[in-house]
Amino acid sequence: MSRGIVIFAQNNPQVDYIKLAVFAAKQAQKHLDLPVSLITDSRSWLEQNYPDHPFDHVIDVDFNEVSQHRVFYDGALASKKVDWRNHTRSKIYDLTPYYTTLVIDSDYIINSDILKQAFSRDADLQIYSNSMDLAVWRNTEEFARINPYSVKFYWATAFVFQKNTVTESFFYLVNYIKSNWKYFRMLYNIDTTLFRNDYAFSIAIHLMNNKTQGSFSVELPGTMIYVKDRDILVGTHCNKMKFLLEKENHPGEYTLAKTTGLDVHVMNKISLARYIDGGSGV
Amino acid sequence: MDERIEKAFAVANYMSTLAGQKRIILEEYNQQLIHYTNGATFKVSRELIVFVHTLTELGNTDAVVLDDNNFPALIDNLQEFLEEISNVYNEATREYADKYNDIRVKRKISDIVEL
Repeated sequence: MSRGIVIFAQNNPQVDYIKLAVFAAKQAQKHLDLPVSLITDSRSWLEQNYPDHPFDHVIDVDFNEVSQHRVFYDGALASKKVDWRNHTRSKIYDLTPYYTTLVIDSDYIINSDILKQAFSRDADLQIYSNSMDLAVWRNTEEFARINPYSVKFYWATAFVFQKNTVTESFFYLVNYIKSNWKYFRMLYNIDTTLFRNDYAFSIAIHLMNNKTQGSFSVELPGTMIYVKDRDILVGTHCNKMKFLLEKENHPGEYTLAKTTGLDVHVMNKISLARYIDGGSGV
Repeated sequence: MDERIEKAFAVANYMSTLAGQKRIILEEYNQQLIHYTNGATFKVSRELIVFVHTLTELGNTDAVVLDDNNFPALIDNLQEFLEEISNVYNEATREYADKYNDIRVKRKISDIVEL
């Protein structure tokens, strides 16, 4: 049975997701030793700017006009309103070339082989619900449940699934939720109009469990470690990463932190891109 | 600013960085404790080691053990499994102790987070 990693990258004028995906793919290959494929609507950008890219397959998706915008911070003091194209994730079942697939966001940086073990498990869907913010003081309730009175939150940032009739139904459900987002957003009392894959996955898992706390999905090994877009990546070396984490009640002031051998979701894509370009990330 | 106040703020900043780093190395330790066998996941703990040791002491050579997701996993060689999880525990704990002692004696923030 084939195994591999898939990364999504759909560029917008503000963020070069392809650049992030190339970096994330190299890290993933280095630590997991598995082929990596890219799903993108920007193949020509990839081939022009990253001719020596590490991708095993490049899978094209149609370019869709942007339907939503989101504010991304770059550290605690700067922010930009950017186009946000996140509507193809639910099509992963049909797009992946692998039987067992690890799907990661282009800003999920792998520094360990912990996810490799997930490929030897016989589970339909493995996904994180447990997470840890590197900044200790921040409220993490938004990543515990999709609202304080609703269902458990799951991260669509990284997950492993096998192709079978069960996961086919799951991704069909995710797609259905996406197509009827206004309805599901109100039904689950979600306070943002933005479509988020995390929410759609959380709702679909809830439905797959027959609206109970079932065992459809299994926790991925480890914990989803993340830094938010108000934090800044300042350096990496081998399997280590260094961040400036925003301080509580002191905008523009930061605390330094270092991780060793931890996979990290770096939500500050602008800082990550700056770092890849050879800057310090600041 | 009064020099002593400035120093107090610098110490507070150092303490905050140290506390954050201790939390991160504890998470690194927790991830290193994860052990896989036959598709089952175990976070190695003292309890697991003692439990498996007890099974071997009672003369069992194999057993079904529930993993962290409550999946039943057949361990067909308990002695070998015991050695594996003991090694995982020892290596992870030793590395955690090294990291802990390393950052504990550092007095500068730049040294604590040096790449």
